[in-house]
Amino acid sequence: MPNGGSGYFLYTVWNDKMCRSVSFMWKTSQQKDISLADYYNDDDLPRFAEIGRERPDLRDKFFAYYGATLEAGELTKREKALIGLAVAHAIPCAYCIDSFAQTCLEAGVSTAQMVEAIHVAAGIRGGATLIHGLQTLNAVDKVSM
Amino acid sequence: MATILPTFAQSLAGANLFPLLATGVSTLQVNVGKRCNQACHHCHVDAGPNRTEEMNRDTAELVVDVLRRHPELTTLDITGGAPELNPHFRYMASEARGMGRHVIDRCNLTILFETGQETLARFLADNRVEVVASLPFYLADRTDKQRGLGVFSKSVEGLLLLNSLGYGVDGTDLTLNLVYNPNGAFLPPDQTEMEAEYRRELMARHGIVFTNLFTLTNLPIARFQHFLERSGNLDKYMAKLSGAFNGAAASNVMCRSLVSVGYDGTLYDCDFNQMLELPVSTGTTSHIRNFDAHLLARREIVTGAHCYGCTAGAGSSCGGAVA
Repeated sequence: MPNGGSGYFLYTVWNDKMCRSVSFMWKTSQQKDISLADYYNDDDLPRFAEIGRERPDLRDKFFAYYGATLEAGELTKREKALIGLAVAHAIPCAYCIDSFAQTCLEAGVSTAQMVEAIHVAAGIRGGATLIHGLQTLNAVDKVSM
Repeated sequence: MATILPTFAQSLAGANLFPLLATGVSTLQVNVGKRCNQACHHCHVDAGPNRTEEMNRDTAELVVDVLRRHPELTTLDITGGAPELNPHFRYMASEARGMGRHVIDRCNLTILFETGQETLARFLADNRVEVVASLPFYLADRTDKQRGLGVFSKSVEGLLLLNSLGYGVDGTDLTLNLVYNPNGAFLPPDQTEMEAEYRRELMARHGIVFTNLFTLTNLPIARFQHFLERSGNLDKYMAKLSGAFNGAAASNVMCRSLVSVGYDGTLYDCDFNQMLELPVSTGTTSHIRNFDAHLLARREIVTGAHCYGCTAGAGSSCGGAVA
């Protein structure tokens, strides 16, 4: 929550078909509204390096590692771009999605290939939710007669 | 957020390349006109069916004469528009081939099926003309979005026709190079990786073979610049290009060894400067009739912000990546 102010979100139900328009609003201590679109400002992406303002040494170490992970190795840059896009959706991180969609384009990935990668992420997220259903069943069984 | 970018001259200076000088002249690239049977969204020439500008016979003869007088011009690279629509295209190509020069036709593929062009593919093959063919992607959706509905399927037909004549086939001397360019405000992929992808996909889907793939960057001029402005991408694209400035690519840019000739005979450093109406810096000798090889071979290249397009990442030229 920015500046430790009080937070709330606006949740508008458009109709009974559950078609919803959701917009998050945060009240800062100066009572200034910041929409989610402002919070995920894509102009921030090229400012990533500013994260080193207090500890440039840690930023540099992270960036070196980050860059190295994306270099071609046993996997091509193209394969790594698709992995990055899938993970970006699994997290989900708006900055990463912007960034890796662009990376995929610049790796020559087709739109259909990107969408398939997103479905893999969605499948694993869904599967992860569902497999934990067994935990529920186990917990239920443990205390049930 | 507005960001002040370094000028191209500043970036060149940072790479110890300012001023950018020619290293010689081995290629004469001739733009024979703006008439084209297509009107592609990214076209830096603003070419299309309604354009009337085209090189006349007198100027075409001056081009041939310059080639005859300058054997150091080993390559004639013919572009447009659709260069084949110029009535003097075959004259220039066959004359240059008769002098033993390497000739390149920058072909949009669909022209092979236009009325009056029925013998074009055979002419190109008989004259051993290298074909550099536009194919922005190996799938129809991105290609058609950029070049027009139905262009991809016609391009596939064109490639199959060229293959049937031996173009791109191992063991022949008929070179068929394809050109990828991004379908929007992003940089091209690694040329080697993309070539492998094209080779696999075009063979599996259509049985097409080709020689090499060139990956090109879209330069922020003409129609592509208008797209960048309309879509709000101009600032970010320019920041991306300038941020990816590569001194190694800058030292290998094609303008250092090429002279570009406009349809009216004016000389330029490249086809992009031609569209921006920025002639060579040699003053009075900036026309084909005053072709001064000595001056041109050591001229200072006229540069601008658009040049970032040729120096970003692995670089870009009419022959693909340069670094």
